[in-house]
Amino acid sequence: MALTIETRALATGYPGYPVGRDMNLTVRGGRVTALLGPNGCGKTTLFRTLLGLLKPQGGQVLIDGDDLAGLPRGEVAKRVAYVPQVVEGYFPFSVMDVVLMGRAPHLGMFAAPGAGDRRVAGEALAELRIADLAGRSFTAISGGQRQLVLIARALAQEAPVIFMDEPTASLDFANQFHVLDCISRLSHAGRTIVISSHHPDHALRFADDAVLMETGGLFAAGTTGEILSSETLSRVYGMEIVIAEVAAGRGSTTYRVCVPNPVGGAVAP
Amino acid sequence: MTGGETAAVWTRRALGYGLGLGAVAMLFFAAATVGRYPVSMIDVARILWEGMTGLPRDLGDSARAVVLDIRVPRLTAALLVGVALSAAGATYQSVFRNPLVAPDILGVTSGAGLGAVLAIFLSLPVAAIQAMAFVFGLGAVTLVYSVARAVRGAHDPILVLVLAGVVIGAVMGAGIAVLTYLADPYDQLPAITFWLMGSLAGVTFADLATAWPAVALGLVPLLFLRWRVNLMSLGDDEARALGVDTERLRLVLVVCATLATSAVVAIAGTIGWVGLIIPHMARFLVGPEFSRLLPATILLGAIYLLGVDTLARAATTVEIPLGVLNAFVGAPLFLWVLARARLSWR
Repeated sequence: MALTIETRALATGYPGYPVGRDMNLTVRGGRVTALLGPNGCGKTTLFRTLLGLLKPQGGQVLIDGDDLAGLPRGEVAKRVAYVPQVVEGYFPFSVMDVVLMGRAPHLGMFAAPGAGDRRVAGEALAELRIADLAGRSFTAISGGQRQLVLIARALAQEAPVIFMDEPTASLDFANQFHVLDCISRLSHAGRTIVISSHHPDHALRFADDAVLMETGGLFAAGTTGEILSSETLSRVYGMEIVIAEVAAGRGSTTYRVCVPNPVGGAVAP
Repeated sequence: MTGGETAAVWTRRALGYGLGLGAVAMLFFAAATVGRYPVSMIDVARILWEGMTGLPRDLGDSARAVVLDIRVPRLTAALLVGVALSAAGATYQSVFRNPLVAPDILGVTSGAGLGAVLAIFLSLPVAAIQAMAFVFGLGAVTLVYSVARAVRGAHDPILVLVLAGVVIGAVMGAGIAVLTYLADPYDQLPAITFWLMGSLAGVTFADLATAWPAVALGLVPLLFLRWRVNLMSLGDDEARALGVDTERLRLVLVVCATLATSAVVAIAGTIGWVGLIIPHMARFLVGPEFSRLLPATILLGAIYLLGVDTLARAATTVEIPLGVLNAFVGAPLFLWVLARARLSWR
C-alpha cells in the first residue's frame, strides 16, 4: 500500500518569515524521491512542514488525501516516519531500545513495548542486516551504523512513508553508498522514501524522482531522468555543472555523474 | 529475541528489584536500632511487630517511644525524600535532555525553599507551606526553562539551561536571604535556618501524612508514563515525529516531578545532590532506558538518603545537619560522576 503525499499551494516558513511559497508537489508511492537544492533554499523547512512538525503558512499538505493539519500526531506518525541526521546528545540507549521507540505510535499512553514490538524491531534490524548490533550501545557504534539504526527505528514505526534528512551526511564514502543501497532496497520492498541531499550524484544513482528547489520555492519536480540535467543543476546551484556519462562495471552500464565547474565552461559531453 | 532470552531478562530484573527492596528493608531495620538510645535488634523487631499488629506491649515505654515516635517517622521521611528527589532528578534529566540538571540545579529546590520560607515567615500551617513550596518551585522551573528557550540560538543548550538555573536559583536565594533578615530572630529565624540546612530531625507523622500523598501524586504518573519519558529525551522533533504530544507530556512530567520535589522540600528543607547523583549511579547500573532507570533510581535514592541520614544522626555525639553531611558526601560523588561522564553519556 503505497501512500502518496501531495502539497497544494503550500507556503512554508515561520510567522513573519516566509521561506517557500506556492509549492505544488506530488510524492509518488513506492519510489525514492530526492530533494535537492542549495543551502538556505528551504529544504529543511519544507521537510519539517511535510512531516507536520511545522505549520504551513498557507496551502495544504495531503497524506493519501487527508489534510495533515487535521490529523492527530499519533495518526501522522503511523503514516510518515522521520529519520533525522545522526546527532550527538542521545543518552546511551541500547540499539534495541532505540529501535523499539519506533513502536510509540502503536502503543497506548501508559504502555511499554511487548514481545510483539520486540519482534517487529528485530525484523527491522534484520532487514537492514544489522541484527547483531541489537545489544550494543547506540553511542558506541559508528556513524554509519547509527544512521542504519535510525532507519531501523523508522521501519519499526511501520509507516509507509519515510523521510530521511540527509541520510549520508557525515558518513565516509563507502558508508554513504551502503546506506543509499539499503534505502533502495527498502523502496523496492514497497515503501515511499523521501531523502534530502546535497549530492546530485546520489540522486542520479539512487532516486527515481527528484525535486529541485531554489530560494523561495520549487524549481522543478519529476523523474530524475527528466529533471536532473546539466542546465537545471547549473541554474539551481549557480555554477557550471556538467552531467557526464561514464561506462563502468560488467556490461559497461552507463552511469550519470556530475562534474562541477569543468575547465573552459560547459561543453556538452 | 527468543522467549527464553526474555524470560532470563525478567528473572534478572525481578532478582534486581528483590535485592533492592531487601536492602531498603534491612537498612530501615538496622537504622532503627542505631542512635543515642540503643535498642537491640530483637527489641526493634518486637516493637515494630507490636506497632503493626496492635498486640499488647511488654517493653518499656521509652524504647517504644524512641522507635515508633522518633525513629520510624524519621526513617520513613528519609525514604520519602530520597525517593522523591532522585525520581524527580531522573525525570528532569530525561525531559530536558540534559544529564546535568536536577531539582537543585533547575532552581526548583531554591524556588520551593523560597515558597516554604515565605510560608514560615507568614506563620502558615504545614499544608500551606507545601502549597507555597509547590507554586514557587513550579514557578522557578518554568522561569528557568523559558529563559533557556529564549536564548535558543546559543551553541550549547545544556550550558544555557544550567546557567539559567544558577541565575534563577541565585534570585530565589536572595529572596530567602531577605526573608531571613526580616524574620523574628527569636521565633521564626531558628526555624528557617534549621530548615534551610535540610534536616529530617523534626519530621513528625503529621508532616508525613501531608507529604506522602503529594509525593505519590507526583510519582504515580511518572511510573505509568515511564516508557514515554524515553521519547522526550530524543528531542522535540523526533518525539513528535514518533507521535508524541511533546508540549503536553513535558508539562505533565515537569509538574509531577516538581510536585514530588516541593512536597519533600516542605518537610525536610533544601537537600541537594540527591536528584543529581542518584540518577547517574542508577544509569551506571541499569542504563538510560527510563522504564528500568526509574525503579532503580527510586531504590537507590531510598538507600542513599536512609544511609546518609543515619550517619548524620548517629556518627558523632552531636547530630550533623543532613544537608551539610549530604553535601560532604554528595560533592565527591558528583566529581566521580563528572570524571566518568564521557563514558556514561556518550
